[in-house]
Amino acid sequence: MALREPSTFADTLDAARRGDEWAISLLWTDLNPRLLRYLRVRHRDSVDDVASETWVRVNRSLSRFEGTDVEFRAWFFTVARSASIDWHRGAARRPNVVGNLDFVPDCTGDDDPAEAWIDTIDAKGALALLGRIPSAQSEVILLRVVAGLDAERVGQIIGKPVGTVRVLQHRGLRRLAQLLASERAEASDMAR
Amino acid sequence: MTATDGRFPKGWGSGEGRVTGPLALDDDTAERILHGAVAPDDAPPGYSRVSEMVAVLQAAPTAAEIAPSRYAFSAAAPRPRRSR
Repeated sequence: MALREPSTFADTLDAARRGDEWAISLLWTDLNPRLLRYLRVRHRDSVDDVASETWVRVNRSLSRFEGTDVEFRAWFFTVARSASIDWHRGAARRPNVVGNLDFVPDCTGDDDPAEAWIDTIDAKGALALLGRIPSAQSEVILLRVVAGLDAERVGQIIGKPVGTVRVLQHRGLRRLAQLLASERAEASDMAR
Repeated sequence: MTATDGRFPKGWGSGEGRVTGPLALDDDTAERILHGAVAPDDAPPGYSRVSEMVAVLQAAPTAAEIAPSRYAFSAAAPRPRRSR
């Protein structure tokens, strides 16, 4: 899902600033799926609202951005993270839903949880699983895996040293491995 | 110091603070898993389903994810210039 080579990306960015639909569509196609996957672990019913707010903010500041496609992606997710944090701050009166993915339906829609977990993991199930690990770990993994950013850029986005990012990703991966193993064991027990 | 307070964990650089034990991962393998470069069958013990999960998260977007939502796509589009 890479955008384009840097020289071409500059053309795309210029065109997007002018409001050319092809360029906006290109940015949208690359970034919106990543954005939605990132936000789904952080938000319950407000994914569309926060996604929209992210695009509004990006649009507002687009003329000031200078950089490559990877730098643009890092900037985009910095904006998305700010929009997400602001939304949660504004919604402080409501129950905190960060990391709570109880609302996510069965990961495969299959009635047999054993079969569901043993056979496949789908995107919804994967995001639900990420909602069950500490939010600092899930955020790092999402920015690495979904946003496709390196540890240094993730550190810049979340305001932590790169060493801390690496510790968080190690712990997150281990936690996911443990959860997946326990899910499989539970499913096997239920199947008996 | 902790891994979550924004500072380097104590002993960082000597491996302290990282995962040890049966699910231990070296840095290179962790990076390759996160990049989706480790096939489930090639993953270290205990990580095959994590590799599978990474592949799912990096899968091509669904039609719903690309389809313009009611608000967001219009938010993405700057106001078009009026031609004279």
